[in-house]
Amino acid sequence: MEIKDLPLEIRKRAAVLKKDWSSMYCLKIKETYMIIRPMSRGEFLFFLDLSRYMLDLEEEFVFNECVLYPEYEKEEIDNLYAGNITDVVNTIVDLSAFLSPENMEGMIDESREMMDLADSQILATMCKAFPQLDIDAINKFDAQKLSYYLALAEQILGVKLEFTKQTQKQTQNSNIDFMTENKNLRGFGNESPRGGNVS
Amino acid sequence: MAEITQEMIAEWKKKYGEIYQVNLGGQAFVYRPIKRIEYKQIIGTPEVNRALSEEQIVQKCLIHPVVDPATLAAEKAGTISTLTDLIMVASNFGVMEEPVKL
Repeated sequence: MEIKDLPLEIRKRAAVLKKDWSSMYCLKIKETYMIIRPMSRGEFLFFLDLSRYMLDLEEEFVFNECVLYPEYEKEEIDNLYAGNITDVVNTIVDLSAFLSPENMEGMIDESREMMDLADSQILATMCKAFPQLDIDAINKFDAQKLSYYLALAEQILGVKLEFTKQTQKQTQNSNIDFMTENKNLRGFGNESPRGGNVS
Repeated sequence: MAEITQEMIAEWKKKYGEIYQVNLGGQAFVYRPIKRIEYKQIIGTPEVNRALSEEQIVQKCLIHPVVDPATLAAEKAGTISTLTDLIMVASNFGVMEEPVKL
């Protein structure tokens, strides 16, 4: 299943949620769709801590924090079929990747490959020149401000980034293809990590 | 063993919502999915083991025939495990599709 196969309602919800959550997944259990996000590192550590008490609180913590759509009340969660919670939580834990060295390694490899992209080089240069700026702050810059800061960064560091302009002839051999790069960057890779009824 | 009638099915559906029927060894069993809160009560019991939890799940979710611990003990060995597996699938365990990255 791909994004285009999802119901319109889910795609609309995802579009709204995307502003706040860069990494999200859609899960389908029978006819139920859910939009979930992976846990942050801090949330994962808290999840592990909760598990130690053996009170079954950790599943509800993950479900409450990471299921973005639909929103459930406590009573609704109690009355959901048991597999909805357990399987969704297991999937969230899996997608969060912290539990699996293989998943984590795969994500690190993917990110390392992105370091060759012009966009990553620009970010690295700017962060080096302006340590007070973080990536989230830089992402709020428009192209003009970004260009100005990059030029300033080059001055400060005494370097000059070189980008090969793409022409019709160079399309296949060019080092930097901004269209492709932007497409790849948007989702940080589009593949998933790894992560008789009586009637 | 009482025959399952349409009236019985209608009444169970009204009471439980989603219900399922399976025939095992010539005997009809009607069951329903287990809810989160019921499942938590069973697996949250400190002394629970696999066999005990299977029996508790079947006792909780088997609608027909009506069973108690004594009748469960007299069932054929595979019946309880098979019913538990069916109840778990009906309760949406292991039925999730591959996640879609958004």
